[in-house]
Amino acid sequence: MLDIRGLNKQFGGLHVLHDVDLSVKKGEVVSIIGPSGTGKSTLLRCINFLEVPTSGTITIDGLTISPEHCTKQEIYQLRHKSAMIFQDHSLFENKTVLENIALPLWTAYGYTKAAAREKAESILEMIGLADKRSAYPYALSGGQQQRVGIGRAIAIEPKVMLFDEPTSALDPSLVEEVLELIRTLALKHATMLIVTHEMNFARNVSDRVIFMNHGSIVESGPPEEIFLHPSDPETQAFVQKSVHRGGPLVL
Amino acid sequence: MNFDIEYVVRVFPSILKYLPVTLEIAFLSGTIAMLLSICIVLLRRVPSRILQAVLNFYLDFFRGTPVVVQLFFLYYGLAQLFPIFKNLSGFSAAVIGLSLNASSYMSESIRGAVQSVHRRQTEAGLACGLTHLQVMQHIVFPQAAKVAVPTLVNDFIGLMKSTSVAFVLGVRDVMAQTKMLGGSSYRYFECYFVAIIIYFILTKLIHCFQKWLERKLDVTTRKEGAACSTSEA
Ligand SMILES: Nc1ncnc2c1ncn2[C@@H]1O[C@H](COP(=O)(O)OP(=O)(O)OP(=O)(O)O)[C@@H](O)[C@H]1O
Ligand SMILES: [Mg+2]
Repeated sequence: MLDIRGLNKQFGGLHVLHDVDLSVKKGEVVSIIGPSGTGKSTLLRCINFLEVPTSGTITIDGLTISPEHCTKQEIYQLRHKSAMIFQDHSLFENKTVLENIALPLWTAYGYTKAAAREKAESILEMIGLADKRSAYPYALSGGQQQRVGIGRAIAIEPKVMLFDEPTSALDPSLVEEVLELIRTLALKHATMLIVTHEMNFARNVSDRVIFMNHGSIVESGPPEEIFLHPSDPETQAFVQKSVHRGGPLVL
Repeated sequence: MNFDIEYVVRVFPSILKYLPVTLEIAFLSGTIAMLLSICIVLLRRVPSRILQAVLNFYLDFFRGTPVVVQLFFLYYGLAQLFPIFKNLSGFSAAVIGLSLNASSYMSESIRGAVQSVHRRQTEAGLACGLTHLQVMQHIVFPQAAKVAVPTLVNDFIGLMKSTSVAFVLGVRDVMAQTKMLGGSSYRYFECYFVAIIIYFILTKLIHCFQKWLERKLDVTTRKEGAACSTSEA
């Protein structure tokens, strides 16, 4: 479904991603963990060309594009195949909850306005926020905002969903409702790539966990392997530190 | 010499009669300047060195020279160089000159407001599949509008006041009429007193409009928003 080959990203002289290769199968849930500043966000942002990679190719659902020769049109096409959930501030602040979900549908996905609203209504039912349909983002809790962000992503029926630390900006008491929604999506076999610091969540929800360090994928494997028997010393050190910080790992 | 209130009352209507001309110049120039400004802001994002240099020159020129000189330059100077400008009326020249001048200020106000919108808003829009133009249209400009209103209204008040120099091109507006009446009656004080009152009231009215617009654009005071946040009194 998603295939990344030889991806490099440089910001000026700073080489952030080194020859990253990564494949995600249809219905697979892959978590990315790793220290701060490693390039996890940059990797996700290269997948939908919010950052233009320096070299390499991105393939989603049969569409392959590389930064050397791609048209604006191709970039828009690629973006239509994925959806991104950001840490915060990503709901359109001038739009109501319902409009947030409906807007992309009628502007970019060919729905009529009426059909877009109808679909947005059904998504709101699903994420349990139907009563907030006419509220503006400022009037929602952080957890509710994230759920709307996820709802907006679901609505466009992406081939792959990209989560960039969806719970990092949240009050601890609000984290669970967001994780719960992501778990529901995992059960429905959505293809997801999730950057997270929630180790227990990564362990429970993922089919595969990737440890990134210094712009490269260090180790990749089933959660048990990465969390219990990591083969790489860097992974070992990171997992130990994170588990220590976040409390015991729930198995 | 004493203040002749009766003369003020008498002369007031004959000056007020030219208010529509002043308003016409102001609103026509204001509208054209707004449209130009939006174009300039959009063009500002085009990565072309030449285009950016031209835009910079445009902004520097209109903000770096007096508006009266610009109007003379346009009306008398260009007409000498290019015959097509010969048929330009003083009114048209004033509107063109004031539009160009105001657009150099308004585009900077809009640009500042656009920059105040969180980058994440644009990224979220793009990630949702919208084109750059759609992001501007549906997300960035509406949010920037709220921030831009106070400065844009100030720019417009500036424009409205500078319409009073249009008389130098022979346009008969409030200022021209005042000057003429004053010249023929020698009651300068009374005449300019009336003109000042008219301009002052005009500015106040525009300020009221600004307050209303700001309230209208603020989502936190909109009905639907308030109705849904149960915590709000
Ligand atoms: N637009 C940019 N310009 C320059 N450098 C950047 C830019 N974006 C990211 N970087 C740099 O790239 C590196 C990787 O950043 P990135 O945000 O991808 O890390 P991360 O793994 O997501 O970290 P975190 O866990 O803190 O979110 C960092 O050193 C960062 O400073
Ligand atoms: Mg990050």
